[in-house]
Order: sequence, then structure tokens, then C-alpha cells
Amino acid sequence: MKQAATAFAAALIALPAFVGDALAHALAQRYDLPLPLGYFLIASGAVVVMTFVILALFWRGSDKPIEARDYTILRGTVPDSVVASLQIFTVLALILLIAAGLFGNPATFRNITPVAVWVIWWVGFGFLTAFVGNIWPLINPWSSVFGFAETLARPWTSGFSFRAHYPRWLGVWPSCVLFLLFAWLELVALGRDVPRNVAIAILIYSVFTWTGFVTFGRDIWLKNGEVFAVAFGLFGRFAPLYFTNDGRWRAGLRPFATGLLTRTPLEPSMTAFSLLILGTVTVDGFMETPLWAAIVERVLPGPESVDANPWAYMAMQTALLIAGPLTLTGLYLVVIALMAQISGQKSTNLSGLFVLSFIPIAIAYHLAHYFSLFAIAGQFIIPLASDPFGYGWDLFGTMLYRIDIGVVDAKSIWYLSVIAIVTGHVVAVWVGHFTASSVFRDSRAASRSQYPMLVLMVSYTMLSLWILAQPIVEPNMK
Amino acid sequence: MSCRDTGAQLVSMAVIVITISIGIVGNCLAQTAAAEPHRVDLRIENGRIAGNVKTVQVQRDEAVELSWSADRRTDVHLHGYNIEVTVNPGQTQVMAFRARATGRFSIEAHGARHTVLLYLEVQPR
Repeated sequence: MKQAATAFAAALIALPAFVGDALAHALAQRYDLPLPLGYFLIASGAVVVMTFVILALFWRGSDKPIEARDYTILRGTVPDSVVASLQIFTVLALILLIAAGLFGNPATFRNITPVAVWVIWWVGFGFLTAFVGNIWPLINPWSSVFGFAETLARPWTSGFSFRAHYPRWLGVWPSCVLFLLFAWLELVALGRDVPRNVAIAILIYSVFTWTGFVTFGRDIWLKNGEVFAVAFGLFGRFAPLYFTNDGRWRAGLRPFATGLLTRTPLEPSMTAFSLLILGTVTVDGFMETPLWAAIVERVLPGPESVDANPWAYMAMQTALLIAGPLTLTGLYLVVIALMAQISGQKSTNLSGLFVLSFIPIAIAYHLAHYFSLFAIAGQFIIPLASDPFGYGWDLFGTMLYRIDIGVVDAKSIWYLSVIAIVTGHVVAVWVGHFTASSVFRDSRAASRSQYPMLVLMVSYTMLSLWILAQPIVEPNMK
Repeated sequence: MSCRDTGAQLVSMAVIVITISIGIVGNCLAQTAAAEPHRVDLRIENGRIAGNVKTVQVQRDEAVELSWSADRRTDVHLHGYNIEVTVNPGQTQVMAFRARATGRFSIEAHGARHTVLLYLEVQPR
């Protein structure tokens, strides 16, 4: 035992110095320069101009309504062997992340768990889901483990689930609560970078998810209560690849964002979930702006008061995390009420139809906000793959890899941001137009009811741009 | 409808072409490297930077020298570049490096608490 401890200590000392910086610091520290004024003006100008161009070209009363149709260009079947290999990989990865978090090195950047969960999976896999396709339903480790256990137990029982009745009104509300909790852990909780905490959170969530599977049946819970299935499902609507299961996994290729087009309104709980995600994405960026730092200074004045009152600061962040999505929801509902009044349509119907058109703006902002973090902090996975527990192993010979903080130039990020934000906005307006023309069949007055929605879209995009143009500051600096 | 499609394609092509050309021109202009080191003197008084300096701006690929003095012993850490110096009263310590990575990097005083002293902004060329 003592020998092991000595060896462990020796391994710690022998580790290279690249973790020194990270040790003292939060995982999600970003080094982005603020978007310069010129880029900001060009982007915001383009957003306004493009809005009017689309308005002028397409939004003049819908003389020929767009019909909902299947946009699939190509279809194929995903080989079972590929699905099985991916499932084995993700289940092993889940076990590794829990084991490394619990028993590995307690330092954030010497343990694979925090980087793998926050950077590679939540940010990186999120990008993959939005821009390529949502493979989460194929690889969901909780689902795989449950399915495998059920198969093994087949001779004795027909299944592990009680299949209790899932009340319709409950919808995805469980996922709303879970997402808020997840966002709180990601953005507010102290110790979110501590490997053990991440592992414990995964364990608790695993048990919770399996309980959901057992109680209501796997498919019902995946649809309503497995928050990542619901969240990735939402991002994946933007992606060109999509997957369905009819016993085997089928893949389809469609143009970007066509998965957001819908003629059947979302359930109220799903509308709420979407607004929650849209609001959280913005709150995330807002927490690093000088404006937020100034607000914090008002409440907690003095140079070191944030450090001295961590609970008060967390309470403020928590309040913001709740107030942000609520404000957005309030504004959205006001716009919907206006539209309902102008068009004479039911507002419950409209609120479930238009929320998806905001998703491209959030995805674009998320990309601009997190791309450099992913490119820089994501590199930590290279040395950590060789030494996931931080014991000093070198499985793949990459342990000595040094992080290159210059891997993406700020100018590339600025171009990416401007192009992403403008494109995201254009796509959003287009999706909104499609939805409007399928809902409001012929009347021009109904079409005019879209102006409030456009105002909200432009405001939401502008807020994203404004946040990108703010220098990142920590609230304790005055 | 096809007319609109062609229009949309033309617009997107134009956007792509303009973006790429700006990028190429920008990169060509950026090939000149600075010779003189960019030196900045910074003094820490009462745990803060004297003169209310909040950011130091340098250009990418410049040789940078941040010269530190302090009224009491302070550990100063430049994040990202990961350079740490200990400054004692009556003494200057220099952080010398080539600013090869763009970004906004916090410089913190490390002690019982970490406080941000100022930010180093490395601007692209």
C-alpha cells in the first residue's frame, strides 16, 4: 500500500508541467479576443440587411404555400457491426470515465474525466450532433447497457420494465428540470472540474436513467426523461444526417435545417425545453461580460468580495440562469400573443410552431462561442488518452503532448463568428418563413403578423453578437 | 423558384469568394515580423496594477517583455502562455516571450487568492 502511494507520488512529480496552468483554473477558461468593432458592425449590418432581403423576396403574403415534404436526398442502412462497435466503445468509455473520476488523479487536467465530459462530449459531441448528425440514439450507453441486460435476462423475464403509465401532460418536463440542473452544474457549481464530482454526477444520473427505464419503459423515458436524448434530438434537427430505427438503424441525408421544419406544433413542454436551451446558451456567454461583472460589483462591492462570498456569487449566477430563460420565454410569449391577435390563430398552436426557428441562431452562437475552447482545451484529450487515470502511464505514447494555444488564430475565429451568426440568422428567418407560410395559408394580414417574430429574432441574434464583442472578464477584477 | 435558387447560390458563392480573398490578403500582409521587443513596465501596488492599466495589447509574433515590480512579494502568472515569476520589492522581473498565439490572457496574482491583475491581448495581424 505504502509502495503504491510512493509510486503514485513519484508519478505525480514526473508529470510534465503543462498542467500547471490548468490546475489552478477552471476547465472552461476561454482565451477569446472580443469581436472587433468592424466585424461587429459588418455582421449586425448583414443581419439587418439579410432580414429585409428575405422579407422582400419571400414574405409577401404566401400566394403559393410551401408544402411539407420529405427532404431526404439519400438513404442507407447503418451496418449492425458499426452500431455494435460504437455501443461497446461508449459503454467502455462510460465505465472508464466513472472509474477514472473515482479512483484516478484528483487534479482536473491529470484525469481524463472532466475534459472528456465537458469539452469532448458536451461541446464536441454537441457540434457533431448539430453539424453532422445525432448519433446519440445509436450509441447512448445507458440505453445499450439496459438493452443488453434485458437480452441476457430473456430466458427468465420478458423485460425489466414495469411499463407504468406515463402521463401525457408530463411530456418532457422531467428533461426541463434535468437540463436546468445540468446547466447549473456546468456553469455555476463549484468543483464541477473535480474528477470525482463529475464521476459521482454520472453515477447518480445513470441510476436515475435506469430507474426511468425500469418504471416507464426504455423508449418512453428516452423520449421524455433522458435529457441528453432530448437535447441532442433538438440540436440534431439542424443536422443533415438523421437516423431512424425500424429494427435496424437507417440513415437519411437531407439539406441542413430541414429537420426544423414542422407543421405539427411541439408539445408545450418541448417548447419550454427549447426556450430553456436558447436562454441557457445566452446566459453562458453573458456571465463573462463586463456588464455582468458590473452587476456583480454592485451587489458584492470590493476587490475580493466575490472570492470571499462564493455562496452569494453562486446565488446570483443561479438567479441569472433562471431569469435568462424566463425572460426569453416571456418575450417569446408576448410575440406569440401579438401574432395570435393579428392572425386570429390560437396562441398555443403558434407557440409550438415557431420556437424551432430560433434554434439555428443558438447553434451559430454556440459554435462561435465554444470553437476555440474546443480546439484548445480539447487537445488535453491527447495526453490524457495515454494516461486516463493520471498514474503516469503512456499507453499510446502521447503523454508528453503539449497543448498548442495558438492552434486557431483569432482572425479565423472572428470570420467564423461573423459567417456563423449571419448564416444562422438567415436560416432562422427562412425556417420562420416556411412555418408561417404553412400556417397562414392565404391572408396577407396573417403574413404581417410575422413582424413581431422577426423583431425578436433580430434582437436575439444581436444579443449573441454583442456578447461575442465583449471582452471576457472575471467579476473580481475592477 | 429555380430563379430564386440560382440567386441564392450566386449570393453564397460571392460570400465564400470574398471571405477567402480577404483571408489570403490578410495573411500575406501578416508575414512581417517585428524586430524590437515590445516592452511594458508594470508595477503592482496594494495588489493592483498602478496607473489603472487593465489591458496590455501586443501584436502576434512580437517579442514581448513584461517587466514587473511590486511593493510586496507577489507571484505573477500569465495564463495560456503559462509563465510565472515571483516579484520581490525593490527588484524587477521580466516575462520575455514571443507572442505566437493570439487571444486574451489573464495575468493573475497568485497567493491565498487568485486575483486578476490585468489582461494581455495578443491581436492577430
